[in-house]
Amino acid sequence: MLDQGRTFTWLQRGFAALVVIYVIIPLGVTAVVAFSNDNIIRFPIRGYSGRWFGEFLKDPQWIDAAWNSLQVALLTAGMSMALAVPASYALARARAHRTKIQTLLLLPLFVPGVVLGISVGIGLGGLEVFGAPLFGSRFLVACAHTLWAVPLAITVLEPSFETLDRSLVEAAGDLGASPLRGFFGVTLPLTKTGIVSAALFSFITSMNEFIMALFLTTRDTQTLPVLLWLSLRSSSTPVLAVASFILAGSVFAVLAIGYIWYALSRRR
Amino acid sequence: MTDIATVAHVGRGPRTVSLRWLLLAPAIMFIAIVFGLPLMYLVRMSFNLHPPDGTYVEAWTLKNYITVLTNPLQLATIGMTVYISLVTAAITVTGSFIFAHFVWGQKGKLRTVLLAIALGPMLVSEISVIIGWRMFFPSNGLLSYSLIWTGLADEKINLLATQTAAVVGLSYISMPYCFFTILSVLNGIDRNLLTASGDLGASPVRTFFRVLLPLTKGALASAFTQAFVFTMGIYATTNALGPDSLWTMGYEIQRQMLSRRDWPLASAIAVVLVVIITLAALMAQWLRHRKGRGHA
Repeated sequence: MLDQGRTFTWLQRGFAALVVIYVIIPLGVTAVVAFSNDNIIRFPIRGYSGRWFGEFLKDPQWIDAAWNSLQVALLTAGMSMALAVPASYALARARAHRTKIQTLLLLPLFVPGVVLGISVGIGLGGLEVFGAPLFGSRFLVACAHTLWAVPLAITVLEPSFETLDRSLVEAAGDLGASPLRGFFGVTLPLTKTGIVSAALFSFITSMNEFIMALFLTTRDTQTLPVLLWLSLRSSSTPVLAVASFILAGSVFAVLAIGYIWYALSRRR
Repeated sequence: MTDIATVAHVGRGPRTVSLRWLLLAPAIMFIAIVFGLPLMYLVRMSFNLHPPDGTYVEAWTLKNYITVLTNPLQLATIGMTVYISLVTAAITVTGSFIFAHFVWGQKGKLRTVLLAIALGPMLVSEISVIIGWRMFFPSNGLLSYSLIWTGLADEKINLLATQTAAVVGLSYISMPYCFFTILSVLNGIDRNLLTASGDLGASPVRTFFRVLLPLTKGALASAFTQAFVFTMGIYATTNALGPDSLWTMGYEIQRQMLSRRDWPLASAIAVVLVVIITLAALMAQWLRHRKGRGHA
């Protein structure tokens, strides 16, 4: 019986190791090929250099796409916070209709990107705002990404407003602070970890998304993941790996900055 | 000064109720305008007609739905999408469960590292996942090279454009969601139950199947639904890693929308896709409730 238990444990360990390798493979392969010196993507790697990073930086199409991605992601994070912070604050205090409103706000998360992409495209793409067509604008892509960012932000923010010690806010009010001052002076500093994580999640969601962006962008506004998808079959050089590496790297860099900020603010 | 009362005692009095709605209004209006209206317009679009030289003409016809639900090619597309989603969900849930069960038993640093690894795929864009696996599976990719290098294979092997590659990629994307759903339920289980089962003479395998599995059935069902619904909506991974025969609804929507410019038909397929997803979610909920009543 002891043997059976031991086999069981070892099988489980072996499987866990396989899962770890499974998670690492696509990321590891990308990182290795990005530094390849070869003209095409192939194994074994014949030499290493930063050559394809140079090619990436020289190509205005890739740089424009990266720039578009950054703008759309910042816009998404801003809009998502402007909508989700007040909504979560109200939800955390609500009793009536709370579940109904939560469900309503979470709904877009369960709709596939391809469906959201075409519905926003044909539903709002024909409109003009201040004489400029909405279709193909970074703003419209950011709006579509905000549909996913808001529900994610709310799931992070709501518990953080819920656990907030309300007597502190009340004390601010009793001492004569206006509600706005109370919010910015007391509530916001106490919940800043939640707010920063929600903003980071919104940013990352937008950075990574490409199906909605595929339906809503033009050549001038296409984001980095969209350009990657469009060049997937036409390009076979390691520049694909470089672009993918930079995309994933920027997400991890943003997370690292967030984590360092968190560690520093805790020490103070 | 009445404003102070608003913040201090939210939850009482009529003023506070209106303030709460004021805070919720922007988000609700945004969802209504960017989500609700376009979705309604999509449903309307699905009843329009597609002229040979354009995108759509206004009409009230069921032609598109008849095409989606009777054309053999469209039916095969629906069948393929459901099939690959079921296979992916089954494999992902099994793998996530075994891995979550392992992580559940770990402590300290190793546990933190394993959690970070499980979270990884969630933070990586689907396109990066696709590109990564596209450098692993083809005949001059890492897999083929490692097999030859270790002597496990004599010739180059190509697994790109196979169902295996598609499922590997699709699983990668939904694994973290399944893993954390299952782990959160495992975390709520009293370990003493397992110890007791062992003390009473049950083998680990018996304990696993007779104690642990029944306790986590609900979590597995909801993780399965999650993975299924999630995979139904994915088409980029399936298309870029799978064979050409693996024609998914999402890909068909993209083709009708961007290449054929048949907006009404693309909309009809999208509506059918959303209906299938909704039915799957409702069925899972119904099963849970029925089970819940059975126990009570």
